[in-house]
Amino acid sequence: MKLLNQVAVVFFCFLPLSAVGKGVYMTPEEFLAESFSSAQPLIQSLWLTEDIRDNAKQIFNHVYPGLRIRYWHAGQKETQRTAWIINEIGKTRPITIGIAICGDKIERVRILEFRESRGGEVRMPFFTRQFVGLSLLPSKTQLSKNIDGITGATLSVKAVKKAARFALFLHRLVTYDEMAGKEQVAVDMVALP
Amino acid sequence: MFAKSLKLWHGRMGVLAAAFVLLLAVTGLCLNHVSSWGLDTQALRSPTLLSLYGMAETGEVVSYPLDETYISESNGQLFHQAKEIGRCEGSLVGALASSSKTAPPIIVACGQELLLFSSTFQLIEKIGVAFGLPVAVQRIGLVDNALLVDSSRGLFFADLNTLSWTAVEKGDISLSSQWSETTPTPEILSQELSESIDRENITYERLLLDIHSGRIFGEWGIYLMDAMALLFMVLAISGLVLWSNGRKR
Repeated sequence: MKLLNQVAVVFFCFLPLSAVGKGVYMTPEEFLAESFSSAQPLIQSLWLTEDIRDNAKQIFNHVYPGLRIRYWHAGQKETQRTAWIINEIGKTRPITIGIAICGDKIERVRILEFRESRGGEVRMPFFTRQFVGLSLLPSKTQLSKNIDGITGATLSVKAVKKAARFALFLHRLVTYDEMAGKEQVAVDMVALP
Repeated sequence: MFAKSLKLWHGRMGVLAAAFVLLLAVTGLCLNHVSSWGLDTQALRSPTLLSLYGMAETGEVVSYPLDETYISESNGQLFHQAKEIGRCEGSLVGALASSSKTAPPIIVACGQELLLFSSTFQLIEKIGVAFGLPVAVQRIGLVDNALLVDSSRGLFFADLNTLSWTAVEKGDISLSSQWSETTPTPEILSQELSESIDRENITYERLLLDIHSGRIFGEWGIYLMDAMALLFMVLAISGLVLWSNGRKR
């Protein structure tokens, strides 16, 4: 009986953990400071042309909401580093995901804000660490390696993977891809406040 | 004698249980596929179904005039007239049409972000804290076509192309500043909006769960489903007994 009581106490102590997940885990400033520790990044913007929007639709399975996206950029040639803050819906609410890319490979993925009550495990380092070093397969919009899922967080995992693929696609566009051209890649450059 | 009586009652109980078995099977089937069928995201809109939750009344609608039309917000949903154009992070605090060639044509301000729209109300982008927006935004205005953001951190001139935020003192603002101000929502628009507003995000998944558990009919609904569960158990046992008796003969 005593053992049963102890089990019950432990169970009810851990029960509220199922609701843990919602919250702000990192501010954009912290994410940018972590991603650009040595160089001062510039905010740039990219107008999403029809081609880009078509690719975005393939990646997200829905129309990307917006005609322009801002990103942070530093470095030159092979050491170009970009950072993207992308909102993607997990189940019903958007997850704010920060992705930093250097030399065509993901450098870090961080969950800045999680707004749903389930699936918050995607913020854990054991999950986000899997993205480090991944790139896009040549001429495709798939990640170069499989990402292990998390039971009970399938939709959140999918959302983070989609955001990572989109960020890599955009990075390639703004840094190397000739297709992006000077007409598509915009222009507004300012120092980070 | 016992077997005959049991068979009679088994049949009667079976008829009584049939409707509930069907109800539970249909709702259970739907619940198994809520995500793939989109039932977990579709919000209830029918006033009859919403009245079961005591939510038939329309939520509070905040509106700001924009030329001859209105930008409205309720439960986080943002509307131009009765058409949904996005979601608002924080409550709606202003809407402006800019005639400047360098600024987006339409600027909508919510507490935590600015939403920039094209003249056809296509979302261009959202500007939030990540881009230096001073929050919480309390109101927005125009001074000689320059955007002015009044926030809990003070007054700022905003350049949305370069994302620069210049702090200004209240005394420095000229009298010609035009602030976006809320107005009562016209009655006709309120009625149209009441059809489109998701009330507290009650989804079809929630409705199915509540029908499945009996909660949709309140406390007595739960007791009714409990009684049905007991009935199913009795049916299962009586069925087994009858089958076993039949085999012995």
